[in-house]
Order: sequence, then structure tokens, then C-alpha cells
Amino acid sequence: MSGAPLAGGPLADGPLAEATQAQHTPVEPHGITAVQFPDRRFRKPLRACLPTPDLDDWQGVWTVAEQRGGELVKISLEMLTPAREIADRFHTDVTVVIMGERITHLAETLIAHGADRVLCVEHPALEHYRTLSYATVLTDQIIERKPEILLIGASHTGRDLSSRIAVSVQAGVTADCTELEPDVERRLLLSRRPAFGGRMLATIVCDRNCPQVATARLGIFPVPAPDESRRGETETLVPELDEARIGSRVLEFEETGEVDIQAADIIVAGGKGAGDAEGFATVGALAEALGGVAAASREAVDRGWTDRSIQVGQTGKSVEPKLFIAAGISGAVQHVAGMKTAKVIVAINSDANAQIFEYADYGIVGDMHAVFPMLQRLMEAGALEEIRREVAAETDREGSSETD
Amino acid sequence: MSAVVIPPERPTRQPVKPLRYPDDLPTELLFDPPTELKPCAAGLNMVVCAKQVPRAEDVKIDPETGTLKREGAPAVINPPDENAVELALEFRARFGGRVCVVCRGPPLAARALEELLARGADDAVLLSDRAFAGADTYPTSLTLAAAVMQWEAETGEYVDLVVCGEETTDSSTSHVGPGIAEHLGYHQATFISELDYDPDRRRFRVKRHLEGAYEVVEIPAPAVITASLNMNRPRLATLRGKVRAKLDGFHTWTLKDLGLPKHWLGLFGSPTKVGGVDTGGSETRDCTLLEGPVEEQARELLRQLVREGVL
Repeated sequence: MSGAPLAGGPLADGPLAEATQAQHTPVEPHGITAVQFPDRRFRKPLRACLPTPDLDDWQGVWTVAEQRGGELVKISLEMLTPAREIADRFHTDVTVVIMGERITHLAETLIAHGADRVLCVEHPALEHYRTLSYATVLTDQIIERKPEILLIGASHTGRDLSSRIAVSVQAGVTADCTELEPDVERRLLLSRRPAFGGRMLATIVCDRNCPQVATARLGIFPVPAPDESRRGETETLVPELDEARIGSRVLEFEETGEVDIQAADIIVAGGKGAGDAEGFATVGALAEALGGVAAASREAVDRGWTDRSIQVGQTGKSVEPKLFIAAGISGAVQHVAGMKTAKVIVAINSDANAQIFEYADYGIVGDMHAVFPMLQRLMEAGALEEIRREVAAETDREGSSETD
Repeated sequence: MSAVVIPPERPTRQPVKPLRYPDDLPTELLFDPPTELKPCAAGLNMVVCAKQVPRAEDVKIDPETGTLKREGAPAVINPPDENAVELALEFRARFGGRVCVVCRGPPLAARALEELLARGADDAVLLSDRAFAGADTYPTSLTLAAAVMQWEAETGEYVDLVVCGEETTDSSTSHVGPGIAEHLGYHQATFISELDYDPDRRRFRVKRHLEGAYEVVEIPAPAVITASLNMNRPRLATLRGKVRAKLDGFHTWTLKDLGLPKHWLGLFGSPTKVGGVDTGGSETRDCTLLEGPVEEQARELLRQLVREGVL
């Protein structure tokens, strides 16, 4: 069979052609023997997730930073907040792994935000995220350096990478966490994540395998305040990477400028009550005035008033902003599932019996087309600053009366 | 501030309760000799991994015990898995080949398999065994990877594409698809919204949506892809399809059929554990209704939001 052309079209192009010639040659990515099948398949033996031996050899908290075109993505800095806290409680240090091409200059920013060590992995093959190139590098580094905890941002890229790593290093991964807490006594990471559409919070532990991996939802952890005087180590590493094994190519990459509602602090959402596409535009206008982003219920999306990428709910995205304003949204369970964990929820609906009021902290029974322009007018007139001063004065008075 | 501070009182990891792991248990398994398999005679061999989930909006929380009551909730096919099946059926229409649906679950999941057979899947396999219960994503992807290998062994042909839904609505980890890819050594593309295939070069081209960006990536076959929710419109089963599904039926594979050691699966094979569940009490909140003329309401709303510290 070896060497004979297989049915089903030409086998390989470029460097892959050579790889195909050497059939059944064992190759050893991170010590695991993969067997090359005909038809250019590298197949690994199935492996059980056995408990990691010598758990105490694994030390240190790692995060993986994400970069796009040589610039850090916000989640990379957010991850330093839980990483720093856990490392301090465990009396260990924070290492950030960053992969890319010409990215060493980003180390300073990472150190200023809380990293003790930055491992810059530089290679032209790492310019864009590709699962196999990033996963190979990270797997090798994890097996060599043995971190006990690995935190990755739950962006699409982070989720793609972490789930591959979970199997290659035989680790337990908790996806999409909203709380990360160290259990110092047992030296465990307690990862909390919403389950069943946010109906409950499950705590996941990984007590017999290292590293303990968790991905954290975007926008949950604050970006730590930078301290330019912080000092840390920077290590640059040039790995050996074989394009034939990576196999994939990024053909196009484009920023769409699409707003990511999951990362927003303030969301103004509109539903059927917006009336039409024009009415829905007021949602965006108010969102902008409040410094937030617009979102929609399924009703508004299905009517074609706005794009599906900003749909909140069971069939859309789950969001957890500080403020969620639901206007003209009836409050169907499917929608509520996607927003009920918001810190403060405001409902505006002309139907006083609308279900949405049951899930809201503040409600206005009225037409959003009357309330929204009024809110906008107040914002433009600088009413917000005035109210902030009033509230600040109020709290001062309360504070001083207590001391009296 | 100094860079690395490791004081002597650094706590050590508590010893883990030793698992009674059989000494003679194999730690690696490579199935059938690869040379016995052939590439797909016509088109693409596709395996779709689907799952039945309780319809999320019907899962109620028991007010007394605070636990989830799944019993009353009707089971549905995990919504993105429907898109995955549709994608595979569309691909079969364009490039030829076969579609096999694999579903891991209790015997009750038979309903989902019959429905997917009726939509046009060529083959359906139910992976059902008590040993599979209690598994996290590692053994789940291992089981599905073994099922892909088993299907290859039965058909004598390679699988070119494994399609999964991007995530399940009941646990939403999105880890199983990439896990299968790593177990099998396949390429992967997750959260895709478009897929194309070049049969001459045996490469897939996918469009992936990222946060505020998209990318077009080319990956060689064999690959695992995970389909985004709403990327296509799943077809309905035809009457003829329903009749065929009843006649043909599906296969049931147990642990023995997959040839996996029991200790690799279930709780033994799972690195993660649920340490506790918090239902967070009531979902509803006490709503303060703001009264008065619109300007008063709007002003009061802003005031409350400033007080809450969110504006």
C-alpha cells in the first residue's frame, strides 16, 4: 500500500507531499507517538486521562495572552486579575505565554499589569492563531515547565486552544468560568461557571490532574491597574515548527468592527416594542449616549431590524453587563436566560403585565419612544453629571452624619 | 517590587485519594492496522456527533431542594447539532459520500436518532452503556473518537469529516469537538459559519467568526469542524424518511463494541469533578416601578443607576 496513489484525488501539495512519502514513520510531538497513516493522516493512539504523577512538581500560575496583529487583546490583561490573586494566595508567580511574530515588545505591558515572567514564543508560523501551531507550542511548554494552573480567556480562539490542550496534556479544563477562586488548603482552583443557561452556578475542581485549566468569560474580570515600575523577566523562545504538521493556512483575516456585546458594561436592548427598524435605531442612539452598546431580542432580529450578532438569549448570546436596559421586550424565558445575570436590569415596557418586570430591578411602564428620547435629552443636557454630584453629596452627608 | 517571591511557607498540594487503578490497564490503544482502510470511494465520509438535551426553558429548579428537575423537561436535539447534521447532508448532496450520526446517551436518545435518520442520514449509532455515565468532556470525546474509528473499521473506509455542534445548551463547554480532533490527530476548525471543500486538494475552507473579526482558514482533511447555531436552516424529516428510519433502524454500540477499557471512562476517566452546585436562589427580582411624568421617571432612573454605581 505504501507509495501507491490512493483513490480520491491527489494526496498532498507542497511540503505535505514529502510527508506522505514516509508512511508509518513515528513522529513524536510532545513525547506521544503519532502514527502516520496513508492519506497523510497523523493519528495518535487513544489515551486515557490518567492522574498526573508528582502533582507537587507542578508550580506556578500561567496565562496565555492573545494578540492580534501584534496588539494585545483586552482579555489578555483581564486574565491577569485572577492569575495575580491566585498566585499571591499560593505564594507562587505568574507567567504569561504569548505567541506570535515580533511580539516581545508586548512583554512590558504584561509585566506592568501583573505578570512576573513573560514567555515570548516567536515564530513566523505563529503570526496568526492556528490551532495546531499554537497547541503544539503550548503543549510542549506545559509538559516541559509544569505549571499548576493555566488560565485562558474564553474568546473563540481561547476556547479552541484550551479544548485541544485539555486532551494533549491530559488536563481538566473548566470552560467559560465567571468566578475563579483559589482553595489554598487543598491547593486547588475552584472554577465556577453558569450552567443550564445561567440557572445555576456549578463549581468544578480538577484534583488529580495538572495543570488545572480554566477559561474565563470575556469582560468578567477587570483589567488590573498598570504599574510601570513593576519589574519582571522576559524570555524569548524560538520553537521548531513544521508547516507540514500544522497544515492549515489563514487565507483572510478581517476586523469587522462588529461590537462584542459580551464584553460590554452597559447594554441597551430593544425588542418587538421598538415597532420598526427606524424605531430600533433609537436603541443604538441611547446606547451610544450612555457609553454602551445596543443589543436585541430575537423578535427584533427575526423581523430584520438588526443583525443576529447582537441577539441576546438562548439562541443568541449570554451577557453579564453591569447595566442591562430592556426596552419593548416582553421577557420570554429564552431572552431572560441570556441576560438575567446582569448586575442591574431596567425594564421599559408599555404593558404593565409584561413578564420582564419580574426580572428587573427598576421598571418604567411606558412607551420606550417617549422614555428613550427623554433619557437622551437629559444625557445631552448634562443631567448625569448633575445627578452624580447630587448623589456624591448625598453619600457625603450620610457619611458625616454617621461620624457625628 | 521583586519579580519572584516564593516564601518557605508555600502550601503543598494535599495528597489525592489514590484511585484503585488496575496495574495491567493499557494506557494507549491504537486500533485496526491503518493499511486495511481505504479512502471514501465516492465523496466524503462524514460522522456527525449529536446529543439530546433537556429543553433548557423547561428545566425547573426545585424550590425546596434547590436542585434541577430535569424529569419534566422534554428532550430535544441540541440546537447547534441540528445545524451540524444539515451541513453534512448539504455536503453529501454536493460531493457524495455518506453521513453517519453518532449519539451518546441513554436508550431514550433513540428518538433523536430516528428523527435524524428520517432527515436523511445514512447510518445512525447510539452509544449507550452505563460505563459512559458521569463522564466529563475528556472521556466523552474519547468515546466519540473511538466510535469514529469503529465506524471506519466497519465500513473499511476513512472518515474525512467529523461535524459537531459548537456547544451543547446544557453544559456549553464547546470542548468535545476539539477533543475528538486531538484524540484522532485531525485538524480542527471551531465556531464556523461557512464551509467549503476542494475535492482535488482534499482541503476544507471555513469561515470562522471571532470577536469583532472573521477569518477564512484552509485546513486539510481529515478534520473536525464545529457548526455555529443558525448557520443554516435544518430541514424537516420527510414522510418517506420517517418510514425508512423505522425500517432501517439504528445500531447500538456498547463499551465492548468500542473496545475501550472501562476505567478510561465515566468518573474514573474524568479529570474534572463537580464540587458543588449553587442555584443562586430565586431568579426574579423585586422591581421598583418609577412613577410620574416621563421626565421625572427618566431623571429618577438615572439617579438610581448612579446610586447603584453602574452609570
